[in-house]
Amino acid sequence: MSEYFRAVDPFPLQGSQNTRLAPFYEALRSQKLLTTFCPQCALRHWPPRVVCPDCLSDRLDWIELPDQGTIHAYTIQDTGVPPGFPRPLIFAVVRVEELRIFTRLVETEPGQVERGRTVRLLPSAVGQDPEGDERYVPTFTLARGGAGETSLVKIVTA
Amino acid sequence: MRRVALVGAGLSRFGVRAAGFRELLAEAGRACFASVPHLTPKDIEGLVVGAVLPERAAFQSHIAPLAAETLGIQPSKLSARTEHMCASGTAGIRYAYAFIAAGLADIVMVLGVEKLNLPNMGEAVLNMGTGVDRDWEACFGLTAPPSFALAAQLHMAEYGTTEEQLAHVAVKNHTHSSKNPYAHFQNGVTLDAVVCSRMIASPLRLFMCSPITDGAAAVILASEERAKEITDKPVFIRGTGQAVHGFSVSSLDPDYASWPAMKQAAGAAYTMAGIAANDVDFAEVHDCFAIAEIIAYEELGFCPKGEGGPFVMEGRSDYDGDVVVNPRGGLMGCGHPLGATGVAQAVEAFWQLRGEAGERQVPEAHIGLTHNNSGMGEHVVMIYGRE
Repeated sequence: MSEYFRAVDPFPLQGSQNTRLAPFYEALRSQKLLTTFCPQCALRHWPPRVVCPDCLSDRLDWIELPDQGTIHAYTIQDTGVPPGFPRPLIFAVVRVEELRIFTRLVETEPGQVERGRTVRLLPSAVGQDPEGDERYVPTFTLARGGAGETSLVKIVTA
Repeated sequence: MRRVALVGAGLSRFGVRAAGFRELLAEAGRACFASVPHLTPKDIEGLVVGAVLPERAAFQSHIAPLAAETLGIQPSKLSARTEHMCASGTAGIRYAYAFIAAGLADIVMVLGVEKLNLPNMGEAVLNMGTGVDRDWEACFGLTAPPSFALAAQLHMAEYGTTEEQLAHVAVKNHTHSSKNPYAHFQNGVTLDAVVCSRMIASPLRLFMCSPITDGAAAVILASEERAKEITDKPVFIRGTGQAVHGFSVSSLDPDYASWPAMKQAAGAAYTMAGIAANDVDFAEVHDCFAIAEIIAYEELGFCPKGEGGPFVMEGRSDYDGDVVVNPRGGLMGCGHPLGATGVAQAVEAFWQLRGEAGERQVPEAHIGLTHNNSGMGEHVVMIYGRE
């Protein structure tokens, strides 16, 4: 039997030949977090959209988001991690201004994760696309020295 | 609209089965026909099949005709597959219901089937990731347990829900499934065993999660007129509601401890049935994880918001309580073969309302509710009654 040439994997194809969201991924490679903005609705989206869910316009602008946010909720998965992913997995919902961004924390000690702590963007490489270009996903990590609300409160009350 | 009733029901055994996709659906289909001696496959005018992962787990699409051929059915009015992740089975029942209520068919079978366990279990786990948003969630390795763990974390923070309360849901449902010969788990489990079981996604431990299970379930629906000819104990669909508020975790209500879509779906079903939450004698709810059952008590109106933890601790969701929740053992005890789950809930409602549930029989059961979800923002509710 001949070899199966390539399996579909859990990572999106990110180049402009495959998606209109290519500018998002291009920016991510240089550690910038973009999203779409609908000028008609004055609405920022997350995740980035191809049409505005409010007015269905496809004329959306790219805007840059701050690369830091705070942890709204998190969980640490020890068991049942899908193949190809590290263990444990730390998942978090991060507040970036008015948006909530679902992400994974990387290069982070599980014991240090707390609600309210500040995290910053740290994109992760996940494998090449069929053209040989590296693909990235928008992971975050705990911000060093950047104490979030919870930590600040703790320092004050200690 | 015409009234519609369940006239037949059957299950395959649930578990890690040495059986393929087609064998599982054949087992449930045969059992279903065995429950209706006056019907043969030739009488079935429509077939709807709920199935989520056959393309990945069985290298098979084109599911409804496969099932029809397997069971000797030649649909003349309706043939379709429903895929709505974990709620696929109940989505199928709603299609069949609407078709019959509208007068487009008189007798329709709904099958739910899933073959999830594979020789390489890593592949089985990876497949579950197809149910979340690939581009923005599965790409991080997300599957169901961490999603619901986020809800548990926020429910604990907001309402003081405890690990012990979560564990009580597991103990109750495993106790119930120990009386269910079709269930994946039939040995029961102690509180100690639950709180000492290994952590899956904090705070959800192994026994607070439904397992990866193979299985199939089938029901036959008929118009009221045909139902009364077929059986002297039809089980009527009294109400149904569905609401979808979002797909990805980022898009949901910021408070994952509240599931307004579930409240909306239940409200629509109660209104249609002309009943209130306290009229429900038993409920099969979607306890994919213990936190989901606690939130279900609240959103279905069995207890006030935030009091789901004490509700289970006080035994109010068990036999001799306010409402028996998950008498068959739920997803935690029976297992969760995705497409089959909603149909299996209907099978339990059929048995309970006909007084055929054996050791699990809920006394004086007149009204039963089933709740099936596919993520925290997507819910479907059915209400069944003896009349």
